[in-house]
This record gives sequence, structure tokens and C-alpha cells, in this order.
Amino acid sequence: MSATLDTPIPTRHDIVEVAGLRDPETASRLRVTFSRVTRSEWYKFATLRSSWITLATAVLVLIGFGVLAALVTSGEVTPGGPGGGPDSTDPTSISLSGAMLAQIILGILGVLLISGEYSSGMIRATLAAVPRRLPVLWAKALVIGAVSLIVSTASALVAFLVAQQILGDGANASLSDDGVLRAVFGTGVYLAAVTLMGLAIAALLRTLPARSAPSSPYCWWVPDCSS
Amino acid sequence: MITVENVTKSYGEKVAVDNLSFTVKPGVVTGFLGPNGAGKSTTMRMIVGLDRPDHGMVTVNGIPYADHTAPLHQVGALLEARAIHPGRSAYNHLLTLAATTGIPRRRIDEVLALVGLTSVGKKRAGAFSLGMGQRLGIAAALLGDPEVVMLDEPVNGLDPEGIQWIRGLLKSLADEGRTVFISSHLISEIALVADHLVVVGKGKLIADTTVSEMQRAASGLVVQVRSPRATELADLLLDDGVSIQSGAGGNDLTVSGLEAAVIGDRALAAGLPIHALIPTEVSLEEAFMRMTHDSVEYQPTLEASAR
Repeated sequence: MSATLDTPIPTRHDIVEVAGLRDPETASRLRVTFSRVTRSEWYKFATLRSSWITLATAVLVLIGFGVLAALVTSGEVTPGGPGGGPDSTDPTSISLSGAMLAQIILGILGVLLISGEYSSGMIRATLAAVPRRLPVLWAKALVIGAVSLIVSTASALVAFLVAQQILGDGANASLSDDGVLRAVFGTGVYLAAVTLMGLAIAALLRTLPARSAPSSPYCWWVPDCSS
Repeated sequence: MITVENVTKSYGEKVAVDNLSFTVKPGVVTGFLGPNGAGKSTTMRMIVGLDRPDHGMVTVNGIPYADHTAPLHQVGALLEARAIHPGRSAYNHLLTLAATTGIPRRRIDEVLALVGLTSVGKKRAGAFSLGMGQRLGIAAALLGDPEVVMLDEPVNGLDPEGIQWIRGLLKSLADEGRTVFISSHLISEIALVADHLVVVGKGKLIADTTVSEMQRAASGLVVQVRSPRATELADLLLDDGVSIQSGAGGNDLTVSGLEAAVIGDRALAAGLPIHALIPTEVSLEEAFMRMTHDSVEYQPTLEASAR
């Protein structure tokens, strides 16, 4: 158990005059709008350390595995754009091989955004502030989708560029090659989609009766999902 | 102003709230009282739209909660259990809520100061003590400077000093003309804070009264009577809803269910002498127990209470 904090309760004397939100001008500006809900969701994401740790892990995996794959690749590498099957030695897919693992991490990031809110009870505060529920879900999707898209695309780009550098001239691909840009940006879009899928599945599981949740195979690897 | 009209809510087979109607008026502190499982929390959840009634209607200041453009400005609620992510700081917790409605940041500082959490505003809420978590919940409830302040079990986790503090806070909120609605399952707690009482049991309304009215009704209903002709008096008084126990010596009676004045009048009419007639104060606790006895959700069984 961690030590708990304690601070004194203010005495009546301490309660100074508060301005409040009573004056008509301030009060008239108070209303729930979608952009405000989105901003709130951004704060929720950004003010949790776990969000950044998960995101950083995904970046590390995406770039790191691409670099690692490039380092251990030897023998025949055939430049000329993505293609081929599992045995492909295509330099573009080598550099993006971290996406396999990164998608799991980003999927979990999407799940955490929902499950963290339910398991902590924060959802009650959220839905009391925004009683219409769908805007909350859309705002969450917008925030996490955008964050994941930007970070994944940037990481995929870095992974590609670094890996090509390692593979060296003759064995590598360049961004201007046929299909390369599509592969790099496609990886970003794909990973963002997986993040949203995690969010969607977690949100859907929440609407099912609680007793069916633990039986879902999804919960075998998703923390908090059945709590 | 909160209006609950003929509200029914069940979860599967279990009826949590059963055709409940009451109004919570502004300017006074109203206590929402009932044993555990009486439907208090469910009712409060319905007031802020977290649950939907099966039948009936709940409105806040005239319209359903969810239809308000700035709900946090209408109702500030502290609901059962914590509604705070332990990884987020107190300030950031309030920030995420304030952002939804465009509440300026200065208000966050105000409410933190109001509950005495300014110095720990940047600390993780997960490290807070129970009482501090409760105070953060109260800060969140006051964030929107709401017309209606609704707190579920606000005294939970507060020490005597904290209870004193919240009592002053709730009184001042009511004095400002706000509607203050607080729940508890302990009448002793709520009698200290509330003026008006809504008592529920098994989801049904048992009483809509004031604390002083309840006290008055409760006391005086048990009367100690001494008479040299106690047996005759007992026969005279015994009626539906009246129970009489005779004490040692045969001259003493304990009459419950009749007011002292009625006993005296009847004795006079029958020409029976009375040597003592003492109304007994019944504690609010006892009055509440009697009121809700039939509707206590989980009666302790003999076996359980013998342990």
C-alpha cells in the first residue's frame, strides 16, 4: 500500500469569496459542444502517464524491429516495392516488420482508453458531464485515431528510412519507388485502424452484460477488460 | 429543484425503485434516507441520466438532465464510489471535466481551494486518503457552480471535523438558494445536516417529512404510565396499533402508539386515577428503524446474528 496523503480541511475562515460562474456572461458561455468534449478527451489521454508509455512502446517496437530486421537481413534482397509472401526479402516490408507487434500494443492502447475509464469509475463523472453518450465515444475515437495515425505514420517513416540506410545501396528501396509511399503511409493508417478497433471492441464489450465478458477470448490478453 | 414522478426502475427481476415520487426544493438541505439497497443510489443515478427509468420521469429544474445545454452547471453530483482515475492528478481530473462545458480554469483553482486540496492539486488522486478522495469528489460536484448539488453518502470517509465542515458547506449552499440533496443510510448523520427528509425503503417512499416533524412524531408515542388501577387502564387503552407492556409492581405501564394527552383524557373519562404520565423521547435512530423495519433489504437471520 502506498502512503496516503492528507491535507487539512479548510476552516470556514479559509473559504474566501469565490467568483463562481454565476454572472450571466460567464454562465451564457457554458455549454457542452463536440469540440469541447474532444478537448476533454485529449486532456484525458494526455494526462495519464500510461498513455505515453504505451505509445512510446509502440514507437520503439515499430522502429526497433524494423532496424533489427534490417540488421539481420543478409543474402538476397530484391528492391522494387512491396510484394511477395511471407518469405519476402523486399526491403520495404523488412523495414516495416515491427508493425506486427506494434499493432498489438496500439490495440491495447485503444482498449485501455475505454477500460481505464470504466474500471476507475471515471466514466460516471464523464457521462454526468456529457449525458449524451455517443459524442464521448466519437471524441475518444477522434483523439486516439489522430494520435495513433500521426505517431504510427511518423514511426513507420523513420523505420523505413533508417532500415534502408542499414540495408545499403543496391539492396534498399527509396520513397520514390513504386508502391513504397503507399506501404509506409498504409502502415500508419493500418495501425491507426487497429487502435480504433481496440477502442471499438472495448466499447462494445461494455454494452454487453458483464457476465459474458470474462468468457470472451479477447479478455485473455486485455488487462482490466472483465473487471 | 429535482422532480421525481412515478419512477420505476428494475434490474431484471429485482425492482430497485418502485413508483417513487418526490420533489427536492431549493433553499434547504434535503436528506435522502433509507437502508442499504433501498434504491437511493439508483434514484440519484437516474437524476443525472446515468440510468433510465423504466416508467416515470425525472427532471431537474423542469427538464430532463440530459437535455440541459450545460449539465454541470445544473447539477453537481458526487455519486457512490470513486469516479476518479487514480493515475490522474486532482487538477487534471477537474480539468477534463471542466473542458467539456467550457468552465474556465480559474474555477478549478477555486473549487480546489474550497475543499482544501490546493497544495496537492498536482498529486496523483490514487495516493489520496479516503477523505481527500471524497473532498475531490465534492470539488468536482461544485465545479460547474450548479443550481443543484447532489451528494451520495457525502459523509462517508470524513472524520468528525470533516463532517462539521461539510455541514457548514451544505448549509451555505442551501442559503444561497441552491437545491441540496444528500443521501445516507444513517439518520444520525443526516439529521445533523438536513432540514427536510425523504425516506425510502425497498424503492418505495416511506416518508416525505422534516427532521423536526419526524422527531416530534417519534417522541411522545411511547408513554410511561403509573396508575394504581393499571390493569383496568390497560384494558381501556388496548386497541389496534397500541401495545402495552406492564412493568414490575403492576402499577407501571409502557404504552406505545398513543399520545400522552389521549391516555390522560381517556383515563379521566373513565374515572381512573393516574399518578404519572411521562412521554419518552425516542431517538431518531429508533424512529427511523421502526419506519423502515419492514423494508430492510437483508434482514439478519438468527444464525447470522448469533455469530
